[in-house]
Amino acid sequence: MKQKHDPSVLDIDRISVTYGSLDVLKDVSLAAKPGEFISLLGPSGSGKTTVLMSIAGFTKPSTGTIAVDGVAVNGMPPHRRRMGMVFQSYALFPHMSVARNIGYPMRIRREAAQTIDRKVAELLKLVHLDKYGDRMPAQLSGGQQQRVAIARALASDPTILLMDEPLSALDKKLREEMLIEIRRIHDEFGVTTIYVTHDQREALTISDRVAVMSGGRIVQIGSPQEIYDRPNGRFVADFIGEAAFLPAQVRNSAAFMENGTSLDVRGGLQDGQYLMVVRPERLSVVADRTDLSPGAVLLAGRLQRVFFQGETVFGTVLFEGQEVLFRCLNQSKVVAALPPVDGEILLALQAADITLVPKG
Amino acid sequence: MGNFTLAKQDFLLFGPAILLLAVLCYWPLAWVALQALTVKGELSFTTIATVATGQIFWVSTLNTIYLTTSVVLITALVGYPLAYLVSQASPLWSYTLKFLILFPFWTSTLVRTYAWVVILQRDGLLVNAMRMVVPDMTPVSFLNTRAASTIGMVHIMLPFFVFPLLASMESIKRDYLRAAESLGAKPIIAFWTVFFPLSLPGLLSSVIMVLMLSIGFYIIPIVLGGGKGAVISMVIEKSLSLYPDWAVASSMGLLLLLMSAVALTILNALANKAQSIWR
Amino acid sequence: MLKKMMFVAALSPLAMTAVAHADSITVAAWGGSYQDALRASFFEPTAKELGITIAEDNLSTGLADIRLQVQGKSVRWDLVDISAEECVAGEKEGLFEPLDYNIVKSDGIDKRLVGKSWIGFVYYSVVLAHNTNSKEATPKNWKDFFDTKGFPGRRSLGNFPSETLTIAAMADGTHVDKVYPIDLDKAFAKLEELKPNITAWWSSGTQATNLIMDNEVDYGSSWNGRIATLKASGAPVDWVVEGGVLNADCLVIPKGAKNKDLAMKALARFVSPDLQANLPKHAANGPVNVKAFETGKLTREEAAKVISSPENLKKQVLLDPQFWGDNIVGIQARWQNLVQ
Ligand SMILES: Nc1ncnc2c1ncn2[C@@H]1O[C@H](COP(=O)(O)OP(=O)(O)OP(=O)(O)O)[C@@H](O)[C@H]1O
Ligand SMILES: [Mg+2]
Repeated sequence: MKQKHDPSVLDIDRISVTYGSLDVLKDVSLAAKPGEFISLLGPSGSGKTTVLMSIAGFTKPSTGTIAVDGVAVNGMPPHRRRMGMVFQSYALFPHMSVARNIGYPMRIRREAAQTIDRKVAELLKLVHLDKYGDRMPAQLSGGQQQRVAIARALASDPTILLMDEPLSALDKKLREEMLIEIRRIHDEFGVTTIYVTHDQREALTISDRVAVMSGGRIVQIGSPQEIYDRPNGRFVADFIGEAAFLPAQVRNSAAFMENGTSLDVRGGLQDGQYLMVVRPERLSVVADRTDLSPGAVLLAGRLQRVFFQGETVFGTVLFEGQEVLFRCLNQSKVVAALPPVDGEILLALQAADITLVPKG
Repeated sequence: MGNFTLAKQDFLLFGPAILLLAVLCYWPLAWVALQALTVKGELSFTTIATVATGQIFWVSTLNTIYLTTSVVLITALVGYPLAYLVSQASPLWSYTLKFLILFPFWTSTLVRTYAWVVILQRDGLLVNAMRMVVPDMTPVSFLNTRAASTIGMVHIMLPFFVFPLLASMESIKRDYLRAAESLGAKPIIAFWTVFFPLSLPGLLSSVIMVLMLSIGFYIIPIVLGGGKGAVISMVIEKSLSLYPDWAVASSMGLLLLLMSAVALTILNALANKAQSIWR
Repeated sequence: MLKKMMFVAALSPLAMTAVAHADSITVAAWGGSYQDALRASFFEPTAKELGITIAEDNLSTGLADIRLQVQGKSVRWDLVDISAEECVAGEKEGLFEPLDYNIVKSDGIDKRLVGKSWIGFVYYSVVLAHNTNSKEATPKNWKDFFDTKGFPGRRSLGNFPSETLTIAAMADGTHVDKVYPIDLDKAFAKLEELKPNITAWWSSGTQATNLIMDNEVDYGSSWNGRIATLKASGAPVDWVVEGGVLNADCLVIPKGAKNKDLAMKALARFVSPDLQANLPKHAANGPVNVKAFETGKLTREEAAKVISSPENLKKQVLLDPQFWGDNIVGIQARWQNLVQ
């Protein structure tokens, strides 16, 4: 993982955290390059917050090291770590005005009053809250509070910005706006960011890389594209996007579906049981069995239901006793070609879209 | 601060409480005011003026102020760290400590007061304990001093101080302190810039609680203080049997109420001021 | 204060129905073992003789309790035991029914304890007591007590102006007959001088005796009853009768008492020599009626131990209720200043 010539801002090396007999983190490793935006994605209780708290110094890993700019920080107290933290609850100081909140880290460092005022004004501008400096946190909307929290974290001039589900308290529309806003601020500041979320769309939208967590481990880490297209197991494939899993196997380096259809998979797979990941949007409805490009797999099933979702049409198909989903654009030509409910439907999966993950 | 309007159905809810308050609190208060401010049915300020300019009233009032102020200060000095400790402790420790603080509540004030007699008196437990260190210590007594009164009252007041404060401390989110530390504040700085200001409203209610309760204290200054430094409650009690009507005692009560109100206003202003420093 | 008022207000309707019986009276006294002694000496014999029921109640503050009932026009008590000073004050306020001296015989009772609407009931005394383990020399009288050079020990006195100023009036060795009328300026000056040697101004009998018994002070004033009981039980305390300040409790019928005629008859019995002679058997208090010592109920030895025996009366000074009734309000401020 560690690349000699590309220094990491953050280098987490096999840390473990236990509470009593509960292993909350097991051998978690993660490295971040300068300016990188990494998301920690995983279901509730998978240990995302614990990773963040370990970086910030509020939780002490029992084993492993955490290095920042190449220096181990394991024994360093939180206030010396220079981690800008944005809490899920924002944790804005309720007794201080917005400007005071943002100026807090600078006042702690005893910077000159004019410097503080100027920087606070800049940060307020950055988060589009120029006129709100005198307000108290309680007088702001959720989205505004969230932006103040980010501005305050940035004001501490952090080495790394840590955000723990900063959008979870906001409504959907605001979330999407804020997501873009966060990425804009990140790009403007260029600060390395570790972003915790359990929302896969958020993670995929915003991140340079996504680390998927489950049960205290990082199960896969990669670019959003990699994570989506080449999940390394059923968990990641299932957690990210929609997918049906069809049983498959590899014998003598050749892959087959259960019905004997041979699968055109490149790259040597070991013999064994596999699952074929079938994402709805990768299936296309075809008119007849001959209408297939080379290497494509044909799935012939019965159409069960069709849902119109506006720009797309979504359908469920029963294929060899298993439910498979497909999605296609809502174009009259495509829709007209759909068989009636209970009729036979032919779905094609292109060779490039065939993904096998180990079973179990 | 918030807008608060009462609807009809609200009154159904609060009505009984307000009525109870009126009967149990405001009615007797009105009666006291009536006794203090009328002579033979006519409005008159002579009694209250005589009392207010009298030496007894001021001497005992100063005694009371001195005693309550030291009680409040010492209770705060002991109680604030204690409440802080409990608020930061793990749930198990927090329960244990709360129990230990509440425990003395179960015995009567009188019993606890006499327990202090046993401790503080000549050849009492305290002196005997000190003898273990200094064997040939001359016998001394800590009883019958203002300090003894103060100690006894602090003991009684501690739970009254700790619990309101604790309630407000427990509502201070731990994330606030973490946020402060992640922003570069040492724990001690985080405490003074974030935790302490946020605990001020709780501190204020605790101080008010202890202040109001200690103003009325009677038994402890007698038993532990040796009767020296008469407090206002003793004087009010004396004047009840001394004077043929309630006018004098009522006037003192009224003046005491007035002074308490002034003290409250000042405290409130101070707390507001203190909080606005951080705004 | 408020609490007390509300409490009384809440109880009064109940109490009135309880006392409505025609041949029953309610007597209020100070409770505890003192009231037990009164019951055995006076209440029970009288109830039997007159064929009535005597219900009992407790005072909480004294005269103020009566004042509250009389002014509130809900008098629950028919006969009340309060201090002689309070009797004088209450009479001035007109809080009591006048006594019918055709029914009540006052012979044998000191004239200073016989008022128009009140009469002396029992004696007790504030005496000079000391801790027998004390290393200090023991003062024999109040003159010694005020001599801080010869007797440098720690002292306590009561936080009660009438008793303590009476004691101070004897600081020069004034004879008990010459104490009244007290030169208040002089008495205050004496106390002011002694003040640095006063460890505590006690407010209750228990406190007075505990101070001495626990060696908090070497010597001090104390009520004779408690100190005598303690001595008898082997505590390291002793006391002298000389210079004791005799104090009387008295009986009154509150104005508007429901059963005042019956109360008058009971009162007559309470102060009669034969019932008065019962008291020393049950308490350290003494009869106010000297004729009690002629009833033959008490042997010579028994009589000698009673605080108000003719012999002991000569050694003590009677706290003059009239004097204090006239002066107490005026000196209150000075007193507060002194003990403060
Ligand atoms: N102080 C603690 N004591 C004991 N167990 C803890 C403690 N903090 C966290 N845990 C446990 O550690 C596990 C991981 O918690 P963590 O908060 O890191 O999860 P998360 O991925 O952030 O979840 P969420 O999405 O719900 O915030 C959970 O099972 C949690 O119960
Ligand atoms: Mg979390």
